[in-house]
Amino acid sequence: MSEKEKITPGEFLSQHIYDIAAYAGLIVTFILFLIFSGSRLSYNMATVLQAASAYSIIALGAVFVYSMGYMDVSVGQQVGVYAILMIMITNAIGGTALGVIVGFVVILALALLCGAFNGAVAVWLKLPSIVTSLFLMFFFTGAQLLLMESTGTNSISIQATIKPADRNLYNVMLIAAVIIVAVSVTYFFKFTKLGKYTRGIGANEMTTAQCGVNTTKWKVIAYMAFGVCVAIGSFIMLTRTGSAGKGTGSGYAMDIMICLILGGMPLSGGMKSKVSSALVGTFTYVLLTNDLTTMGVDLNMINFVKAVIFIAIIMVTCRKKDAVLPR
Amino acid sequence: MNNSENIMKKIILSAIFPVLMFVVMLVITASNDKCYVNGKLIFLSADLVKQVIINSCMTVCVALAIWLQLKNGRFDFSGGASMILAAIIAGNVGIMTDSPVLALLTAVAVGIVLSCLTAVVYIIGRLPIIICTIGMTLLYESLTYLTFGGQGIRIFYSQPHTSVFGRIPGVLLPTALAVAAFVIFTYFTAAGRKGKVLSNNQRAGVNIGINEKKNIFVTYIYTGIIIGLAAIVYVSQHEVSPQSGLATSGIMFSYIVPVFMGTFIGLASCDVMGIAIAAVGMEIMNYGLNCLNLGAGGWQQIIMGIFVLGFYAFSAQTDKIQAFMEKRKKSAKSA
Amino acid sequence: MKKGLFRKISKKVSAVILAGAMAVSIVGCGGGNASNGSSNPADSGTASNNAADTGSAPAVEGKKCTIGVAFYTDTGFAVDSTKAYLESLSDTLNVKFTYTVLTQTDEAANLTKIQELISSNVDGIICTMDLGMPSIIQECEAAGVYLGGYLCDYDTSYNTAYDQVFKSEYFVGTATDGQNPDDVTIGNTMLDSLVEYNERNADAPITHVSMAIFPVWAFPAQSTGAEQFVAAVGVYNKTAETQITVDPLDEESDVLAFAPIDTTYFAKHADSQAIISFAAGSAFVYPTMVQAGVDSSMKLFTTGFDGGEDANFGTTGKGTYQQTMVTAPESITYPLVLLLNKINGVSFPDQPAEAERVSSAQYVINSDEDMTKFQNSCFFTKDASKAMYTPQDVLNMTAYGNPDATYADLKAILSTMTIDSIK
Repeated sequence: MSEKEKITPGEFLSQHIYDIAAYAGLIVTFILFLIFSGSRLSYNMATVLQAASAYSIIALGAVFVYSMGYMDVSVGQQVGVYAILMIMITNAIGGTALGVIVGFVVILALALLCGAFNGAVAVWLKLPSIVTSLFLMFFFTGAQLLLMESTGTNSISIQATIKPADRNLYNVMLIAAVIIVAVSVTYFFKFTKLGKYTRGIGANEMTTAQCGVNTTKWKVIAYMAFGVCVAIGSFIMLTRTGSAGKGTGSGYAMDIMICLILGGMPLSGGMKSKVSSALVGTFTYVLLTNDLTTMGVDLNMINFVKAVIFIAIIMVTCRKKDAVLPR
Repeated sequence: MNNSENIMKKIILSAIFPVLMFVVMLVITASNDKCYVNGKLIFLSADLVKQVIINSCMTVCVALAIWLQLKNGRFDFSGGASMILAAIIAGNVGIMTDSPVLALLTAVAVGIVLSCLTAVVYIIGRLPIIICTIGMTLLYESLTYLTFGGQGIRIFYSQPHTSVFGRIPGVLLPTALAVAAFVIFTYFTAAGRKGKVLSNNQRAGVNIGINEKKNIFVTYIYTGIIIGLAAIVYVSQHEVSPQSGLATSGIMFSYIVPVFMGTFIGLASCDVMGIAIAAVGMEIMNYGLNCLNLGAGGWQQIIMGIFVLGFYAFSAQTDKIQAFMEKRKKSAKSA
Repeated sequence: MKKGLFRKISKKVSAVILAGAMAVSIVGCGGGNASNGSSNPADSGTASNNAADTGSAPAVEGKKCTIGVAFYTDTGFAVDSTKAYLESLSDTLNVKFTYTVLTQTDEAANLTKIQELISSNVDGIICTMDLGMPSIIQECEAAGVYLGGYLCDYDTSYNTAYDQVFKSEYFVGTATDGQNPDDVTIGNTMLDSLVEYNERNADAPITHVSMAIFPVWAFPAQSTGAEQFVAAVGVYNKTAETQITVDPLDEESDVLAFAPIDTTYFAKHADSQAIISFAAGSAFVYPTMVQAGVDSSMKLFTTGFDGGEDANFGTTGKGTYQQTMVTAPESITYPLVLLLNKINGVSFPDQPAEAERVSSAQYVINSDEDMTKFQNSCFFTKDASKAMYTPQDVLNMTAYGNPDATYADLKAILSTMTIDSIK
């Protein structure tokens, strides 16, 4: 081992200040959570798990897209439409297990199609990827409204059983889903070309292309991988209530972005993109919201407190040291 | 081509979008029974002109605020939140003093203060602009709950003597001031010109001695003025309630389409003209959709989405179209 | 090498600690909540049990408890006045109130909000939205927390999940915002206000009106109300000197997709002198009237009060508003008392076996005099001293505070909250 590789704790601290701040945020919110949950700690654990599971699965998928320096503003509306379609298809097939499978396959196919659209059409038409996702956002918003209008009700419920009756089993199912997705995403992001190339595209697309990488192909694959996570996340979200309406999924795009920022994900993408950002950020965000409610913070103050904490965290995690101001 | 021909060409190219939109919507509405009341085509009522002017003025103000930052290389999420907070404060001041002029001045002052605060956090925090402005958006939105008892402002727009800047002809004043602020900054100030250098090559700009921080601050002061003017028009036309969850960025995004379209249409003249013309075209389309009862709901969203994609897809091919036209010219000459 | 190792170890350690803490805590959660929570009557003992143990009279002061109130919006007169009213009851009833806000469209988000309330150790919840209710009731049952409704008819649950919601022992019933969908009177109320206006303005009566409603899939009662109004006008015209014409409800232009009416509405209803808006007119109709400049020439009969309507009501200002109606915040007394009974382990002798949804009378404000009265209400002033019921009155409505209290009496108060009952 050479002298060069030895680092002092001070150097380590300065090199990892962003990670430490992100983890510190998570730990602080977790400690507050432990304190204020009181006698209902175990119940509240399940609450956080249930609230965070869909977010974390979608955020994990979003790592592929954000690592390229792109974003997808249509994810919330996609989640809403997928949940409604899943219910409609399942109910049309008599609320059977087959219906659930067919429903999931359909939304998975749709999610993959949207991923391909976001990735390929943007390249073919030379558009910024946010424009194609803006189109999908408009399209899915309209589709969600029209689908709900066609049902003639405010909210529709699935007729099949998609959630174990036993609460412990349900919690285990959610943990398993998050772990499987996290492990899969970590594998693809860290140990396969997909992660390497998406980070490369985020760092410098032209250089990556000049290295012989078909960037269009990998963009499409990255968006499709995200699509898979969106489909799984939509299903997980649906298992919670078994129902959906015209506002299901609203705000997901921004929430996912906030989660990733809190977890230390650089929005410009590149080599510093990390899978852990998705999990750290999601749990920090969900725990923070939970803490503020259990602490009994005044309704009008909750948003202010959240905003101040968000700014404090980004001031540490996102600060750049470049000669020019970051954009 | 002489000068007058050149000007004529620019005028025709600039006007083509709203004229085309008017003709398309006229044909569609005229061929639809829903658009006739007592045998009269409602698309051609005097209300069309009134609504297009009023709504275009609002759109132009917000679009200029967005474009001023975008033009300088920054995508500012906080513009909508600043506008809403400024609107709430200005509206309440206007009601308390019974003075729309004081409300206008308050809106501009608050707009400048909030913009400067955003600039300070951006400069001191050295944060990526999107992340920084998302944070500021959350902060300003939260303040909408903490000012004036979290009630927002309702009655400002509904009283004729307070809402003069939301109606014809009063609405033209803040719009004209917003255009003037944009033009003065962009074309007549050193900061505007330096901003252009920085947006083209930030590092080179800094290396040749441009004080980036000062430039950003000045840009934000002008943005604040325009946001304040947008706020007074907004509060003169709408009730404004407290917002949360980045909903203000949604309000801002609803005005962003004319920004991108305007930059394309503005190629024939200048960006500010392009934005104004795009706003008029979009408002004509919206009015036509309303006549068809497609102004809200699912189909409106889908039509809007297709329109946005179609427009972008077309505008992104301009270089190819230009190259094709050049090729045709050359082949015609050689023939 | 060392650097990488240190980094990896530190990350792994923190990940393991967090994951371990979460996993350990989650195992066994859910099922054991009732015993963890303080809300289970069996665990905590009740007022009546305590009374029996000590052999004394029933305790007047109920068990100390916390009730969470989940509002449909975070600000506005209804929310602020309800909070003021509840806070005034806090000491006498020995109840701490905690608040949250639900979304109006997202079931999963609402479930999370309710779960957070349960996590903050509430004993009961008053919920103003019926969205994802079966899953919410499941949560309440698992945690031993009771739930009541306020400003909501729970129509979706009533029609699609009656057994799960209304038959649940943890659902105590709801006080509807106005009349229940199967008991609609708003069409007749609108005509009464219109006729009263015409009587006051015999020289310039309103003879032609148009309507506005929200989509029938979201608010079926509004569509029924509109039909009732048209039918009532038909009956009225048979004997009236001043005939009233109602533009037929245009399924496209008059049904608001939760967006304000468009200015083209006025071209489509060129002869209309007034809009009868069953949809929330203050937010969805009036702004467009102002924008189109018709707020002087047209009148608006609507529901809801968001603030500021009084500036242009009746003969004041431009006189655009001629009717509005709101439900008194005191109607929250109904679910509150039922929740307190449950928490204290008592019930009324005439308590129905299944939870009910009960219509509330509303403040129908359709004259200057009514507005003056309304401006002295708890709703308008947000001052609990103006409330119809004192804290002691409410305590006397509970089964543990007053052995003679009955369910019928409690239910009856909802029909008394009219404009004439304001102090």
